[in-house]
Amino acid sequence: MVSLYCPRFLWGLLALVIPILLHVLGRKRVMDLDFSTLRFFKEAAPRASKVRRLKRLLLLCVRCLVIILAVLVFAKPHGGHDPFSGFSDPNGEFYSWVDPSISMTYIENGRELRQTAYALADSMDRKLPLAARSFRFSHDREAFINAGSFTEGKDGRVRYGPTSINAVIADVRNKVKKSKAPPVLVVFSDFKRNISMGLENELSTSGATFPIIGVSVAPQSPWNYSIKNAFASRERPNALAGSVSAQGRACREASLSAFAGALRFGRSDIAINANDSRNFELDISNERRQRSGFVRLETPDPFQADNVFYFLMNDKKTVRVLVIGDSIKSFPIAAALRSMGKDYWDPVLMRQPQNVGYDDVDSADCIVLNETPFIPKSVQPSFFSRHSPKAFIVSPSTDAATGYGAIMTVRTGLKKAARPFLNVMDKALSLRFPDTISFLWKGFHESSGLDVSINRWWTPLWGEPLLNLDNGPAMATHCMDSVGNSWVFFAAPIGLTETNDLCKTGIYPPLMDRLLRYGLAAVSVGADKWTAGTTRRNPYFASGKAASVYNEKGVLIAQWDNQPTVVIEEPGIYRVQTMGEASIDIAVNLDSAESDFEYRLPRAGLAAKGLVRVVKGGEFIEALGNRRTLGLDRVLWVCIALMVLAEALLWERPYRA
Amino acid sequence: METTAPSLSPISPGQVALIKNLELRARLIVEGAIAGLHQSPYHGFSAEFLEYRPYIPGESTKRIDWRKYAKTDKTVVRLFEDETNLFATVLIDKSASMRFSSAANMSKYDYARTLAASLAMLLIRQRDAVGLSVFDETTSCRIAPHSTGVHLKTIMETLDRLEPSGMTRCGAALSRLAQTVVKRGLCIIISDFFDEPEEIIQGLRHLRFKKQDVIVLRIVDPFELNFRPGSPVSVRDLETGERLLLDPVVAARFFSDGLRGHHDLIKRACQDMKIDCEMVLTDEFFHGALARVLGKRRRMP
Repeated sequence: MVSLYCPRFLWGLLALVIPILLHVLGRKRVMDLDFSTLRFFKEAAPRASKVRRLKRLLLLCVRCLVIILAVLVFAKPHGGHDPFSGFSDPNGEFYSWVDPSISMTYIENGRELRQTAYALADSMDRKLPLAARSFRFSHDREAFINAGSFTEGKDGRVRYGPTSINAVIADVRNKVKKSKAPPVLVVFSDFKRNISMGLENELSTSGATFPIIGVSVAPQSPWNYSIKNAFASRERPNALAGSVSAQGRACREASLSAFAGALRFGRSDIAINANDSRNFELDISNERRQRSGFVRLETPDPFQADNVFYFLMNDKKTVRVLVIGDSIKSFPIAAALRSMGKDYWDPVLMRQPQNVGYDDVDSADCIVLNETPFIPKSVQPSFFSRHSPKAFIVSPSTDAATGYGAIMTVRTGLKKAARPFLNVMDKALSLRFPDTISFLWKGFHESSGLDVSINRWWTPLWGEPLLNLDNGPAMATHCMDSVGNSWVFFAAPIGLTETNDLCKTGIYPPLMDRLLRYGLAAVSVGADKWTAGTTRRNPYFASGKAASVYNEKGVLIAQWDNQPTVVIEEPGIYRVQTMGEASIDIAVNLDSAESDFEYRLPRAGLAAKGLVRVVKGGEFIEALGNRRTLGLDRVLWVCIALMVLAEALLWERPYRA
Repeated sequence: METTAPSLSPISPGQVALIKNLELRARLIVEGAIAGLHQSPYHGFSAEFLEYRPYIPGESTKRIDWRKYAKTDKTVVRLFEDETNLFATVLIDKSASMRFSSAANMSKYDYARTLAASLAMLLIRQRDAVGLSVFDETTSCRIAPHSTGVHLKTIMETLDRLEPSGMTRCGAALSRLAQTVVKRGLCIIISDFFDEPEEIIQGLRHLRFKKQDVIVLRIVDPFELNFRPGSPVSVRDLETGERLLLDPVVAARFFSDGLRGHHDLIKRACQDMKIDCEMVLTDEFFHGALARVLGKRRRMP
């Protein structure tokens, strides 16, 4: 399989018309001639005439071949299944990109992955042909620079937050048009899922016009301990709650410490099984006056960046609730929440589905979808922002066609499961609490659900059952999706409806309050989460206010005024000071995706088949050594020379006696 | 006997072609250009006593000089010179190949018979006997040599009447002529000689054996000598009707090379046999062609 680096040169094949025209126009009409004698022609002339006609055809073929070969030389064919063939191009251009993600600081064999990557890039540069040009992407300058002027400390600095390779590929794609030789992009990365998916998406949408070689430096058997979350518990005001996970290897004994500045004010030992997580609570009753702090996990794991988690003592006090649905039907929900805690559920907004705006969704901490037949596509993406997970409460209608339509029409991120179906029974069912002693149902009486009559319900639901109907199926379930949203699904409508009387019972307000809090607890809603290196909305945008952002050392790092988005590059506690108002703190943490060592080599799409190859570090150096020494273009040049020679041999001068 | 050059200017073959009457053509050519140039190589011969030779028994007694016998008592025979200067025979090829003519030129046969007529007129005017033999694959016509004006008219009429046709069998025609001639004389062969060179040479050798002086005039159309078709040609043989499709370059190379090779072969053989061989192009002025022929004869012993 052969592909072309510069297929636009195939237009040159139109030049084939020239020799064909010459051949056709060179043919003349046969002239009839009465002549004295044929004695001098008889023996050899007819044969010679046939030979000459054949030669003319051969000459045409040779000329066409010369043009085709010349076009091919310019179109630069290459072995479609061997992107390494580009390394045999003496005038090749090589662009290397080393993944700047924080995950590349993972230490394996005493060396960070990025150091391994740069060592491989250096090895590659040494093995390139002498005339080849090598460029490396400078993360400081956001551009490719000459490999010779690249300094690892400055140009190769680590970047927090999600890393995208799409812009790099687009940059190289632009260089394809300008450079004489087709460039080769070498990507050194650990190929975590986000990098692989970015590469696949880019190749599937735009296709590959140049070879891409991925060099994976992913660790062989990664393991890591990380703090997943830490926040001042709303339910227990004197506790700092959070969770720690162990991936790949059990954590026998680790020390967990909470700090406020340089002061350590809490400490706990923790042990976690492999591929498990543990919640922790640290007593902070004496330090509640502190505004912020961080938790550090003291373990010798190879990835240290996620062993620190920053938190705020005084998180946002209220939870913004957005109820999407018919205002009359949704009114009981809003009323119940307001009645249960006006200082906690504030504000509770109600919107018709067609009136929901981006700001409503983006600013909400909890979204209740009450008998919502559809969700506007414009706001669907904001449902699934990894950096602002929300709690969703889904109340289906009892219409079999649209009951769970709202959920099924959006990209829920939920694992595929059996689609719920609607059950209709004449006999009404009541609620049955699984217990009355757990954190969730503490305080509810066992018989308090018997007053409820539910005639229609959906089953099965996704996730873990929280509340049952009395014949067994779940009335409410809970699950998390892939981006961290918390979902509470109900089997029946929870607003005003004719099919049940839930909202008319006395259990309704505390039930709603408890289930929504449960859903929120899973996403620690209330804390204004900031992720290092991630762009988010400027909270002061279009407000007429301006803010100065200072780091822990009191150094001004940014001014936020009217720019629509802002970004904080590194984790830490930052103080935001606005003119005439009290300063607020924000805790910026590492992207949790960086702690998940899910490596997956990219699968090149059909469009890029043959142009993309991903190898491991050792294989890369070996493949460089085994690259073909004779480029296809040289073979083509030799062919052209042979064809020109054949042209010279076949061409006959007009006869001169 | 020298004659002064006439005041008439030479006449071109194109102009000659406009004149239909062959005798008139010949006269114009001879009187206009040739007369002053000719000098008979056989000048001085007449019907006079030459010598005696002993009588051979059995021989006819009619030519015994009895007076000599009476004086010397020896039987001798008186030998006399011929009554004419020269017995010349013009052989002319009338095969179909002689019909060829390129655009502006006379056909080869037309040129050949005009040349033959002119030669006949020239020779008869100086009292040489001229005969005519016309051949294709056979000998179509044979007129014995005589030197009278009536005879010249007969020759003219014959040349005028015959049209080119048939195959060229030049070698056979020469051999047949050689078998019939008994006296020493001159043979002027006018043909394109598109025949097997071995047969032609054989015929010429036969004539030479019969003590004939031979002049070979090869009539060639200028187009043949410089055969350069500009496009592929479907060539039809005028003699056989056969047709060949030829590439122009191949056709040019093969015909030009073939014609030169064929001519060189005959010419070399002629040189070996002391035969004059001349190539005459159909666009050549007749007086020039005649002058070359006569010039050759002047140098002959």
